[in-house]
This record gives sequence, structure tokens and C-alpha cells, in this order.
Amino acid sequence: MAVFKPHIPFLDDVKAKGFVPALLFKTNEIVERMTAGLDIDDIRGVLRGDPPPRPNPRVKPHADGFWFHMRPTYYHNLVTGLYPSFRLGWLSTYFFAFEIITGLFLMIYYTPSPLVAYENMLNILANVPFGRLMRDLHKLGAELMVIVVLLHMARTFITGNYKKPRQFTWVTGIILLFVTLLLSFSGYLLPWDQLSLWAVTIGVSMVEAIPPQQVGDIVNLIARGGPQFNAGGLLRWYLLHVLLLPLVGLVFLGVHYYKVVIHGHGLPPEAEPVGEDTAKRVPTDQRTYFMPDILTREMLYVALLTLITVAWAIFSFHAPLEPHADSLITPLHTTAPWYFLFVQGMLKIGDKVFWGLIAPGIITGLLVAIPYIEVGPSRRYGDRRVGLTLGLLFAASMAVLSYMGTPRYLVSSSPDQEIVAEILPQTHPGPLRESDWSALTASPTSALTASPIPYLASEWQSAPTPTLQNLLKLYQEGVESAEDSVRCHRANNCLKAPVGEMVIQDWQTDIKRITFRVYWDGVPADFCVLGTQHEFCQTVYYHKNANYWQKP
Amino acid sequence: MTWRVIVGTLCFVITMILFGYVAVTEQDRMATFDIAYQARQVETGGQLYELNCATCHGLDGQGTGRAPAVNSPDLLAGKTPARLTEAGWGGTLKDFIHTTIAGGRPQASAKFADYPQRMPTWSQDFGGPMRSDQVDAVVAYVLNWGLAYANATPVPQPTVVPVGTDLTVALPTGDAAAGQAAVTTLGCTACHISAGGAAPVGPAWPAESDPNGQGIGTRAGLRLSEAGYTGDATTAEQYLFESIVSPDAYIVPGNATYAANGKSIMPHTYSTLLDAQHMADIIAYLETLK
Repeated sequence: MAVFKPHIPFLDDVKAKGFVPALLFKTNEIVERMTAGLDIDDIRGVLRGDPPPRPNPRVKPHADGFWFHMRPTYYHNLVTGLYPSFRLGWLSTYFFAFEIITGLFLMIYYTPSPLVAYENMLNILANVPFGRLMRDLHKLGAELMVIVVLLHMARTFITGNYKKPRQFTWVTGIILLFVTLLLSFSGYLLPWDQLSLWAVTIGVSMVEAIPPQQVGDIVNLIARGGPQFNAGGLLRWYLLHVLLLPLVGLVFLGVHYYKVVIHGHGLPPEAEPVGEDTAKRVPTDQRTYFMPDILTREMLYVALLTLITVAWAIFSFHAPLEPHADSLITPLHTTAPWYFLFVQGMLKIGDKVFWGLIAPGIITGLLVAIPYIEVGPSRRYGDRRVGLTLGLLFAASMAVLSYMGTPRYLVSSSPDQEIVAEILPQTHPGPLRESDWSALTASPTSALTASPIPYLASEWQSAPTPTLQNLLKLYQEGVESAEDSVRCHRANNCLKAPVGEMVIQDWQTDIKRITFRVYWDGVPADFCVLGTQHEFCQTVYYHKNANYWQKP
Repeated sequence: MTWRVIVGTLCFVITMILFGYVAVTEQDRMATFDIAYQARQVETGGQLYELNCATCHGLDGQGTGRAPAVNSPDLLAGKTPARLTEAGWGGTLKDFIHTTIAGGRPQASAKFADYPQRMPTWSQDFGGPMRSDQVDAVVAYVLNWGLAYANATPVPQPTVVPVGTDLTVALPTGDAAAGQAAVTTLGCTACHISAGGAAPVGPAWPAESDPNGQGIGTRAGLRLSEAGYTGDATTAEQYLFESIVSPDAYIVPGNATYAANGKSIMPHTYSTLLDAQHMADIIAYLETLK
């Protein structure tokens, strides 16, 4: 008597029906189990757009499956098109997944240490197949995700979907907005280049202002991992970026989705009686089943967006990589990321505590509180003129504040440096580094002193090449505006009779040394001697193969 | 609905084709980035050189009198540049420059001009101010000067014809001042001068450090006539010469710590390391220490 008698039901089936029919039956059964309710015929019917059989097997995955139970079984006919949701919520989720996938790829090649982080970036760009693409996709996806999430919030506000019974859905949405912004922001520091270090330094310097000072100091220390950003700070922000924030995001994404299933998709405001929420009571003749209609729509949007993002990243969008982070050199015109520019703009208005902490705090509080403050029953646009106007005013003031956050508004650096920074910016390649290397003809040499004769910005027309003429023209424009412009008059730092000079020297093989010299109020005796008054000099080396425009 | 499936599938296919395009062009792209990055490294190196190195080595790398030229063929030209050979360097030129910048040069070169200040350490690894990527950048910049020498004929190493152990060889006229500099650079004084009264490792040169109050210049003449003298020297100069190139020829009895098993503890390499001029200078200097 056998102690253990194996019994394989499939073999019984083969005996009874023959091999091929038994195999087909088994395959069908596995497919049905995997899809939680749809067999091969059902899937074929879904893809061909056949009307559902009765009873409808396409609702079973919503009841039994993990992925589909997060989605409603059917939508109201009125919310299946682009309006009123524009699918922005779905696209936000899509970008979240997109960032996780591209992020995991980058994680493989990344070590969160100031000693190697920057080298890791170079390795990703120089030695990892698809490395640059993944980095570009991750960065582009992050920017797009911020845009999509913001639009999603704006849409929810405009259609009044934050109102009862969806108040808490809105609150979780605001939490997700902040998770998105912080995810994007915390990723800034990881490449450990000048851009990352200084953008995050600006952001974190805000918490330093928290009163009382002891608290501010402690929070600042925690955020930086020490008095200065270094190994400790980088590791903290890395863990924030790859662990804490994604986890918080996932939890609230679950809550957010659950609330959507519970409350249903809000109908367009004009489609239901004022004060009523009929989203969950969809008449049978108004139903559009998730499968196949909504599913195919969502897949279409995703496929289209993936194509656009990938093509954009391959052909034009490249994540910047600046020189290695250096806590001793602050680049002129460092800015926060664009979605935090409004804070930088507010800081230019006044006090750091009020405009850097209290004002953003109030904005956050108001965003969270909107559904509990604005409790008017009607979602219709006509009944919400005040609310919508205030919303638009808010958006407009954010735009203005963001503009004020850019270096174009009220930056009090000296005009001589500004002139050179126009041609030779410290935060991106800029006109000089993107101009044709071979067109930068070396300055002629003086027969008497054997020293080079500078090109004069004011005589740009006589420069030997068109490239050089353009550069010198740009230079001259800067010189002129430093002498007389609204901006310099307002800042009261106009230069007296400024002169712009530029020296190009063939320095080493394939290297040119380019010196900019601005002087005003008289001609200094020597050329670019440190400490000379009324003179500003900046030197740059430019290599033939530097390829700052990243052409493949 | 059908068109949605078709357009969606089409988008997916095109995306995959784009990935394929990247896969095909990726090798070139990566190579281009490598070249571009190396170029930018040279640019960065130029900036750093101008700020940190130009004061001593000159903006054009030709030296200022404070430190040797780095834009020079004895460092950059040929397969084995003279300065690498001199240092007995087994690695690459790049490693040599990197090591020199990162760790500095605590000791002067024996065969090249001496400078009052030693090369300091630059890498943060050795207490200097530069990150390793900055040291790399400066190395790239210095090496970029070398491209101009790529086709130049290498300059021969400064002529060091070893003086050998033959005591009868005719030495040129010695310069005592040069000899004094040489004994400092060569490290002789580490053992032969007792500073502050401590017992020297080898026989002390100055008169004030000798128990009998005789400097090495005086002693050299006396040794020849000592009873147990085993060397071949016939003059004081030859005696000094012999003591430097063949330390074992005659071991002065009396101080056991200067020798072991009949062998002097003094290095036995000077016959191959010094040339005739060096030797003459050193002897001239030692003779002044009466």
C-alpha cells in the first residue's frame, strides 16, 4: 500500500477527453483564474467590443481581483469622455508608476555618498546603456507629474468636486500633492552637482527661520544632516526620496482611490440637481462598463503619453548635470525648482519668517480647509462666481510670485557680474559655451608688447566671425544696460562709462582661454590684476569637444 | 473602441521602435559623452590650475622660479619622460602627475633644480584642499599640454654619468657651496651631522661634534696614515671619495654602531647615483670642515 499516492487531475482529464481538448480546457481555466473571472472567449469579446453576455463576466474581476477592485465596475455615461475629469487622476497614478520604474533603474547605478554620487551620474551617462534615457525620463516624468497633479487639483476645484461627500478625498489629494512636490524636490539633491546642492540649500534655508531660534536650528540640523549639506544630508534626502515619500504616497494613493470607489466619479456639475450627489446611483441605461470602454481609454492615454514622453526625452529633453557640488562656490542666479519659485518670490517681498514660513503655511492650511470652509451646496459654475474668481486670482498671484522668484526680478548682484553672467551663466551652459568653438578666433597679438589685443564689445561689428559678432553684440547690450537702464537706476548701481573687453587665446591643444573684462570709471593700469578697483574679470576655458548642447 | 485599441497598439509599437533606435545609437552616444566629459574636465582643470597652481608653476606652465615648469618636455614628452625615470616611476605619466599633485613632493629631486618650497599636498585625502575629481581635472589639464609634445623628440635625461668606484678618476673642480646644497638634498646630513648634541647615526662631520674636535676635512688626511688602514686612497680627497663610493673599504675602529659584520651601514649606492661633478662638489665642501 502506497503511503503517498500522487493524484494529478489533469491526467484524468487527458484520459477522459484526449490531450488537446484537455490542454485547451486547462489553459482556459488558468487564464480565468489569473484575470479573476474572464476566460479566453471573454477577453476576445472585450477586445472586439462585443456586447457583454448575460450574466456579465466582465464585472467579476472588480469583485474578485486585486487590481480591478480598486476601480468602479461601471461609470456614468457622462463621465466617460475627457470632460469633466480629463483623466488627470489616472495620469497622476501613471506617472507615479513611471517614476518608480525609471527610478528603480537609476537606483541600481547610484550610491548616496558625496564621494561617488556625481561619478555615478557620469557613469550612468557614459557607460550605462539607456542610462541617459532613463535619467531624462525620470526627470521629465517628475516635471510632468507635478504639472499633471497640479492640473488635477485645479480641475477638482473648478468642477467643485471637493464638496460633500468628497471633502476627505480632497484632503488626501492635497497630501498627495505635497508628496509629489517633495518627491520631485528631494530628487534634486541626489546627483550632487551644483544645481542640486544649491537648489536644496535654498529650500532648506527656509526651515532655519522657524521661531524660536533653537527649534529652527534643530530642524535645520535635521534637514541638512549637519551644519552643512554633506554625506549625512545626502543619505537623509535619498532615503526620503526612495523610501519614506513613496511609502506615504502609496498609502494615500490607496486611500484616495478607495474614496473614489466609495463615492463614485462626480458627474459634471450641470448634470445633477443642486446639492445632490447622484454619482453612485447610475441608472442601468446610463452605465458604461469599465471593461472594455474605460480600460481601453485609459490604456490609450497611457500609450500616447508614454510615446510623447519617450520621444521628447530621446530627441530634446535632457536632464541637466552641472559641475560637481561645491559648498564654497555659490553660482550666481541659483533658483529653487520652478514649482517652489513662488516661495522664493515671496521671500523677496520681506521677512523670512512671515513670507518663507507663515505665508506658505497659510496657503497650505487654506488648501486643506477649502472643502470645510466653502460649504455652499451648488457645484454649478454660475453659483460659484466668487469662489472661482478667488481661485483664478490665487493662480494668477502664484504665477506673478513665481516670476518674482526668478533672477530677472530684483536681484541685487553687481551689474558688472551680471553683464558677464549673461554670456557665461553659472547655472547653465549659456551663449558662449553653446557657440561654435572654431568660430572663436583668437585675439590678434600686439607687435609691441606681444600681449593680445582684446575685442571691444562696442566694436562688435568688426569682429572676424558672425558667431563672435553675436556674442560681442550681446555683451555690448549688457554693457549698455549696466550704464543706463530702468533696472540699474532702480537698484542705484549704474556703472559710469563701462567698457566690455574680451580676449580669446589659443591656450592648449583644442583649448581656448577666454577672458572677459569689464571696467568703468577710467581705464585700470594693468590687465586683470586681482584687487583692482572698477574692474571685473572672469576667465573661462573652452574645449573643442565640450559639446554642451549634448548632441548625440 | 476599435480605433482606440489600434491607436494605442500603434503608440506602443512606435515607443518600442524608439527604444530600438536608442539601443542602436547608444554606443556612439556614450562614446560622445565620454569625449565631451573629458573635454569639460580639462576646462575645469584650467580654472583650478589658474587659481591654485599658476602662482608657482606659471599661468603658461613654464615655471616662475618658485617651482619647475610643468608644461615642459622633460615631464610630458616621449614614452618615458626624464622626470619619471629620475623618480624611478614604474606607473603611467598620468599616475605620476596625479600622485605628485595629490600627495605633494616632500623631497627635492636629486637631479633637477632645487626650489625653496616643496610641493604641498593638494588632495583632501592627504589634508589638501581639493576633492579627488578636482585633482583629476588638474591632471587632465596638465596632460593636455602634453598633446603639443606628442610628436616632439623627447629631451634626454640630464646627463648623469655615474662616477664609479675608481679612485684615480680625474674629478672636475669642486664647488663647496654646491656641495653643501647637495649633501642636504641627498640626505647625507641626516646621519652625518649631530644637531643639538644628539649622537649621530654615522660619523659626524663638523669639528664641534667630534670627540677630538677634528672636522671631517682634517680627519680625512689623518686616516690614511692610521695603522690598520685597509683602503687604497693616497690623498685626503681620495679618502673622502672612497668613503662615499665604497663605505666598506676602511671601517674606522671604535664605534660599533657604524658597521655590522664588517659592512658599513652607509648606503652602497652612491657610486651609481652621483656624477663626477656632484662628487667633486661634495668633496670640496667636506674639505672645508676642518
